[in-house]
Amino acid sequence: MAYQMRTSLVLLVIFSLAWRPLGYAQSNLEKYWVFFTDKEQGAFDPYAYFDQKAIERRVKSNIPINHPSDWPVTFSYVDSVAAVATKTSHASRWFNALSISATTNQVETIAAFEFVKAVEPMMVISYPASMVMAEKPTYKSSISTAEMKLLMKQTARMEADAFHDKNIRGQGLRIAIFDAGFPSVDVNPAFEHIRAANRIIKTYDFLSKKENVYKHSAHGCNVLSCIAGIINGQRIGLATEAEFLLARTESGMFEPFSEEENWLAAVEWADKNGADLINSSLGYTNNRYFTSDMDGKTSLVARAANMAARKGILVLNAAGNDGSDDWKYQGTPADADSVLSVGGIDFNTDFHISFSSFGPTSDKRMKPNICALGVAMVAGPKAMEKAYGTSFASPLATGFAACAWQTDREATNMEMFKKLEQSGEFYPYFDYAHGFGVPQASFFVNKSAEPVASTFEMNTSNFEVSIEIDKAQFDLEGEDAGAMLFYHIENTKGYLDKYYVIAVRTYNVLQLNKADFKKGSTLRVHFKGYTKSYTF
Amino acid sequence: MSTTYVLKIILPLLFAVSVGELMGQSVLLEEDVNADTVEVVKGPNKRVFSHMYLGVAFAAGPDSAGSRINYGKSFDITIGRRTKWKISSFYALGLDLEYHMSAFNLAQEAGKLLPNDSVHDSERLKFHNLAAGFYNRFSLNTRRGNYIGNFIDLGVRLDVPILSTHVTEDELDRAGYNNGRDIKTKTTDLRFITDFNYSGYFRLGFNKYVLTASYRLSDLFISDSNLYAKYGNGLTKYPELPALSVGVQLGLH
Repeated sequence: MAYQMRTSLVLLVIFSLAWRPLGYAQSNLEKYWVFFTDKEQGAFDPYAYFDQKAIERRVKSNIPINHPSDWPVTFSYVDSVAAVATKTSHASRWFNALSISATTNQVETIAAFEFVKAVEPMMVISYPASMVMAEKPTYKSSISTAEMKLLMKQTARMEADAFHDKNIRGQGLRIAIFDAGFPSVDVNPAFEHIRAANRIIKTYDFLSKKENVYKHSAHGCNVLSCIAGIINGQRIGLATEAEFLLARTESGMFEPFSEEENWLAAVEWADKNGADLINSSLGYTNNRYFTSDMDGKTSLVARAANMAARKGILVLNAAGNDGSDDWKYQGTPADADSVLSVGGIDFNTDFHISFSSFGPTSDKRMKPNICALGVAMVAGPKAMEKAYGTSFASPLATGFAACAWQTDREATNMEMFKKLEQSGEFYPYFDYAHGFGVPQASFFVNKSAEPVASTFEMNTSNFEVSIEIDKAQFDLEGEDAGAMLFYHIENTKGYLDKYYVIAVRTYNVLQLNKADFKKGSTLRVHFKGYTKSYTF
Repeated sequence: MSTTYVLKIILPLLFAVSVGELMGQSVLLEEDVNADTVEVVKGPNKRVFSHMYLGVAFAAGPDSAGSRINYGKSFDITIGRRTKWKISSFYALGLDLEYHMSAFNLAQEAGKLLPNDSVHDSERLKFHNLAAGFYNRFSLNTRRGNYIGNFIDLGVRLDVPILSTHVTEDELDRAGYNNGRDIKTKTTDLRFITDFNYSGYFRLGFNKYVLTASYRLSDLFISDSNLYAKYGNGLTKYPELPALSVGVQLGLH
């Protein structure tokens, strides 16, 4: 008996060490990207394929109208792969790739085709998101006084009147929104002005492959309102007269394997249909990646977002809501260098809201780029709601960006990207919680604005650097008590070592011992619009 | 309290506190980038990861004539620490160190042999074990971030019963000795239990939620005719209790 026991134990160990879930792998379908080696122009006609606005964007940005990245994937390759795979889904022109569902054996066969460059598994992790189901609304548009204050501040904080007083409301700009559903947008009074002018140009649900996006998660409805909604005559977002492409790319409840695939499909769809801007309030973080992957190059969505930028589209993405979680940093595609990442500030404190994800990227680039209110009044399917998240900071900034671009339609997307950063209230100061701060409309409207006068003195001695607030301008025992001063230390490699926000209550606000800082590092201080720096 | 004391001590203190409040700076946000952006070396999908877990399982395999059990009342409770060493994104080796208590509620019926033929209102065998399990982990989603993901574990576990007890409970029709009506007996250090036993186990995990199945591969009871001679029925070994148990575990991570 003892011998039998020993034998069975040894056999079990050997079996378990040698075991592979072959049965699982062979019987279970997985989703993959199949990348092809090449493609040909074939019958591709850009004038037939692209919306006129997409052609105009390419001409304006000096982007080739007939570019291989826009050519369709070679049909014979698709057919060959389809003959082997269990199912094929989306073909990506930009990445010359095809998404498939296949078993391991099928993948081995497909990978052996000489026209296949690589086969990579698709991300397959799911996570829950907020879910608000739409119902036929009897709309509750009334809000409290406190909520009205918030509603007004969410656009006023960006100097909205400077745009609207000049009737700059995003006219002529086309904005694509990628989200989890847009219930009630077809009936909601907050979007009546958009529907009346037929400014919802196209819609597409990349999950169900249908045009109806007016159901599922209410998140997209909230987001659209932060770009362009109007309720009871009060604007919710800034680009109230822009045009819209609405794409459902997320399930909103659980990802069915292929949000990444949907995002790619949607970005090519947005390009084809003439989008000038894309707002995406999604982000992939710890379920799929390590923080070291947040370099703007690793994830396929980051690369796709950068590709969209190369096509002349301005892409804005929420920084993420992991600021107080273990993850802490922005997700992807907010890590992409050509994506304008938007962080959130608090309505009450007026600086970084705790949940807003921090930068920098893993390769130490500044993120977020700008910020906006991370708490906002939004239009829900049945009522106005108070909502928290950089999901709403991003569309507030997108509405702003559309208006800003309207003031300078000759600017390319990346020129506008830079200008939006420069319009930040802290520029040239920045940190990894706020970027350059909340963009200000006066930058675009009052182009000859005077430089900001000095608000503090930076005094240096042999031993220390001190900051003294200008007593003539500020009453720190009165209305200016607690005003925020920002400072950071930038190292010689060009990224920040430390940064601070302090509430000022005394004029001699800061004394720094020079010996504490490395030679060549830079102290940069910002107070009330004025920035000054000192290199140790 | 004298006026002098108030003037000399209390007032200056109050003044100092109030001035300090007025003059002080409040740091609203402080970030040390280098301290925060160091490479993550620990975590569920890093080289080594360890966490506590809790589990409950129920006897599920067939029982034997003479040692019938009440299913649903026969269960196993586990608390332990699980460590895994990542070999590749697909494969990891692991070690479980745990305490688990197995309780078998014995059916009271004719033909009962375990541990004798007496019938009671309720009867249980309990085994308190220290155990070590060695397992192979096969991840089902290889491209994932720093979290456990979905997996299959296959391993073996060595159980050492550190305490074994036999408990009977009876309610008398009439008050008995000491005028009590309930009698509960507890016998410990059972001689018919092997010094150790081992099992093979399978786990299907969905991040922190795990389905488990364990099958005991060795005997629980020793074979010794002298031990059973008093029954006079030629018994040389007790019929074994169910070897299979199925349950759930919760990873505390």
